[in-house]
Amino acid sequence: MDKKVIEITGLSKKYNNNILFENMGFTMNQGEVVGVIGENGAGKSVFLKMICGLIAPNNGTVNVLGEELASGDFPKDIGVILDCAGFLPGETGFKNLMILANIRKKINREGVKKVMRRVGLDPESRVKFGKYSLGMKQRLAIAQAIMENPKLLILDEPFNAIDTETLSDFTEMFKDLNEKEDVSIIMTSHHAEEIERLCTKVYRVENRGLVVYR
Amino acid sequence: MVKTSWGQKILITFAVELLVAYVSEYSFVLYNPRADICHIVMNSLNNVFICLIINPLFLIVLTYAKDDTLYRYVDLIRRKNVTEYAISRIMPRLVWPILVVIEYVIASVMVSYYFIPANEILFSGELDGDLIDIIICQIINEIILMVAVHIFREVAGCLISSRKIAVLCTIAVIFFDFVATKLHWDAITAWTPWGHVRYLNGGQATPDYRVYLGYWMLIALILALLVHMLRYKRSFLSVTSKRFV
Repeated sequence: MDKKVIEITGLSKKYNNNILFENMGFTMNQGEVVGVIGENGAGKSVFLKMICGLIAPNNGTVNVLGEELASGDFPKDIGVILDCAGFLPGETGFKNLMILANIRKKINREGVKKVMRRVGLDPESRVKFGKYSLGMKQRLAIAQAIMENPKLLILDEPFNAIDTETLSDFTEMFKDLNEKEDVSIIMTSHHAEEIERLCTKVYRVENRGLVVYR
Repeated sequence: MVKTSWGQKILITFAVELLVAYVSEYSFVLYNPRADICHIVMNSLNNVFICLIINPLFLIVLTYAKDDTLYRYVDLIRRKNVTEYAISRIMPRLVWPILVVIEYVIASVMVSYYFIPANEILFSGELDGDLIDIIICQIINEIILMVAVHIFREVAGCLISSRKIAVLCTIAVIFFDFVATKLHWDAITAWTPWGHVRYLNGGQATPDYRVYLGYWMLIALILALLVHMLRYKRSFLSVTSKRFV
């Protein structure tokens, strides 16, 4: 029997006076790469934030990696990219990642440097985060998401501001993480091609729930 | 912003505290030439102007300048829950309130020794055994006062979603409390977190000064509940400033 990484039952969410989800169910098995598509404002980001524990549902239960999220709790072993990471502009990319690495203490300096090189950033660079280009900022966001070997990656528009050449590199990297390291991935993206290449299942947000798209 | 090391910050705060203690004790010795070191130190610790105005404002300036790590999901999701995140934000900043009080006590003792030879009077023992007890309680009281000011500002910032308005609110409360204390509006000051900063009234220990420890614990509990209430507060969970990316 497949191990479930995400299991949502009876979820309802009202956001800014709109009912986004009503009595919704959703299951994702270990090793799957799931894409979520939908129109702007449909609730894709809210859905991912509820899985992260950053937004509470009005009703229903959210189980992530076998643990039910209680009010105010965050799941363990997840890596996340959302719309605005909030890195410190006055620090280098490496320092920003080290500050985060020191919270869980799962990764050391060498590990952080290795991850930075993997996403195409120079860990020795003295350039402050505030001076990074949009693409570099997104690379750093990807680095923070994958650096602690998460079992589940939750990615909201991970390819934003990434140029087309690098896009395929990152798609391959996520594919590698999924196939070689058994990382489950749930993501939203406007890049239909990448969703097509990467995802084993695609859902669409409509009718106050998720419907299978492919 | 120019970055200063911890050593520089400690030296700067100590220099300011030394100046504040000197002014406070000079005026006290001027009108009380027979005062001994304990009276001088206690007066300094008991000075409403310093306790209610200068040190809290000093603390706000120090922690406000440091407030550059607000509302980051990358930090949040690495915590067990929102409460742990709130505590992780507040705890490191409590180092300053404690440091400011300790530096102020050290500065007061140093300045007192400077004034003592002129008075040629040693400890008279008028307040005997209770004196040290009262001084220790006063130090604890002042540390908790500073902590309360800091948490109030922090919680207000998250609830109002504006750091500047939160600082203004905190300063307004501090000034109101100062005025209320100076005018002896006991009915008001008794119910503010800053109201019972003084254990002594006219040099005499009030009989129930130890009760304030319980009072402070109650305030700490209320503030902890407020911090707990911040969970799912949007401004607490999201980046709200264009300065952060």
